[in-house]
Amino acid sequence: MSAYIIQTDRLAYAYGERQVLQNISLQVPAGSIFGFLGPNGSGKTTTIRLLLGLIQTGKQRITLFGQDINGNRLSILRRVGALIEIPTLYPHLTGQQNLEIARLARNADRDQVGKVLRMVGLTDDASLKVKGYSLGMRQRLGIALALLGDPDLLILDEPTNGLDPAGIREIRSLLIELSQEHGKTIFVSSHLLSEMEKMVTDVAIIHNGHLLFQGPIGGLYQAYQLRIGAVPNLHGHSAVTLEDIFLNLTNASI
Amino acid sequence: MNSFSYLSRSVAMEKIKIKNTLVPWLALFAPLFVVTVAFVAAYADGDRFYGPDINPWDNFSGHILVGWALFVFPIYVSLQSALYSAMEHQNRAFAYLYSLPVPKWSIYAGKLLILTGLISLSHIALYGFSEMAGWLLGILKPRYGFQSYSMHEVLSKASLLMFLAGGGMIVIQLYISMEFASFIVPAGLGLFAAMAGAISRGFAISKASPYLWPIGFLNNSLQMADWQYSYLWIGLAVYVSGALASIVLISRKDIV
Repeated sequence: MSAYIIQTDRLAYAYGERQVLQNISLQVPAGSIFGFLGPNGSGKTTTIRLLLGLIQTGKQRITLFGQDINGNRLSILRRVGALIEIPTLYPHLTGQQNLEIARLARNADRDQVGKVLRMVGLTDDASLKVKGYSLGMRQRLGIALALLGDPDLLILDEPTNGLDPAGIREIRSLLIELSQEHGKTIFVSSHLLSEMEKMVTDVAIIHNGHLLFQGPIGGLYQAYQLRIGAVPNLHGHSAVTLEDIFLNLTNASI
Repeated sequence: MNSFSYLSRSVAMEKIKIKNTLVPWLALFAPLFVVTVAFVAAYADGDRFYGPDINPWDNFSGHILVGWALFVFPIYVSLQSALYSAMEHQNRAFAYLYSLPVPKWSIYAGKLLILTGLISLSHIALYGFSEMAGWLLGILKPRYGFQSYSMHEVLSKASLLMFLAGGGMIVIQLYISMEFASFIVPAGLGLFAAMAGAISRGFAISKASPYLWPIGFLNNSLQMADWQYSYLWIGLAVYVSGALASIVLISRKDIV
């Protein structure tokens, strides 16, 4: 089996006349935290929707776990937990009831609800209605929904959207823990470059529907350090930031 | 995993979703509204209609059944389906639902079964409220004579069979409410369909409207022999074929 959990082959997509993705060939290594980076409107969410089979791909090939999404949608989705943009929650229900809906869909054991609540630190708030949750709690519940069924791959679209610095740090710690201690492959999209820099092992940069770079984050720094002309800082580390590289690649301001 | 497992889990998911919402209450409120209006009218103005040796249930049931079939049933189905699907649209939940490992057909079928169950509940309630209102009129206004007559069979059968004749309307409204994020579209369609039905009732073309099949079934009569049973079969046929067509359309739909 391929070492890549997700593979796409020159993926393209257009909304009517407007081409939003072109030649996107992703290769997401197993066990990685794969940052899918790009500004708003660059095509990140469309790519994620294609990966999840929410948008029909026609004859284009998208494989997850070595299986084509066309024809294997259900068997693939059993191994994937997804959080798409704003966490999809029913605010009139409690956190527990929201999880119960996902548990039924995934046909997971009942004890998994308590387990994921503990993982995201929401056990004490599970019986409260979600409309009373803070944004950070909703994001954590969204991740708990994605974790139900113990999926091998998490696809998270902007999981830190709208969070304050403490909330962002919480989510970051959780994702690192899920990768390092639970062996999950995490595909995470974001436009918050400085945040992604602190957790991803691999990265792909997308801009205007084009893939500008893909590979390990260390390789990205090495490849662009000389090009940007940065020198190591006093600690001997790279003074180049992901933001510098991104600006250089896209020649645009964030 | 077999189809029944998917379907039963989808139904269980939908049952959780409607907790703490107005959706189940609307199934009781709509028939209660019709019966209350008929009750108040009968209570206040019954002397004009009811007299010695006249079965008051004829007039009373007629008002309820015609009011329900012609106006309230189509509007209620429209509001119920719109309210039900609004839960998903407001929370942008369709993308999430379709990213779960359940077939799209079972998500649709779960919704259709719950909506159908709620609408059947409203018809049971229509019958129950009608009987209670008549019983109450018999106590409050004994001179009307409600206590001396009954119409259990006609009321119960009409309630059940109108529900079946409304199958086409149910499946159309559910599809439209799932397809359009705006609450106005499914709710407005039902409202205009009800008004168009009232205007065009009696014209041959009105027979084509699924929103008029419940009233078409009653055929302006409380005599069971006069009822137009063909509307039941048409309603059921459109319910089944419409559900299958909806599944095909929903399966092909991109969630963007």
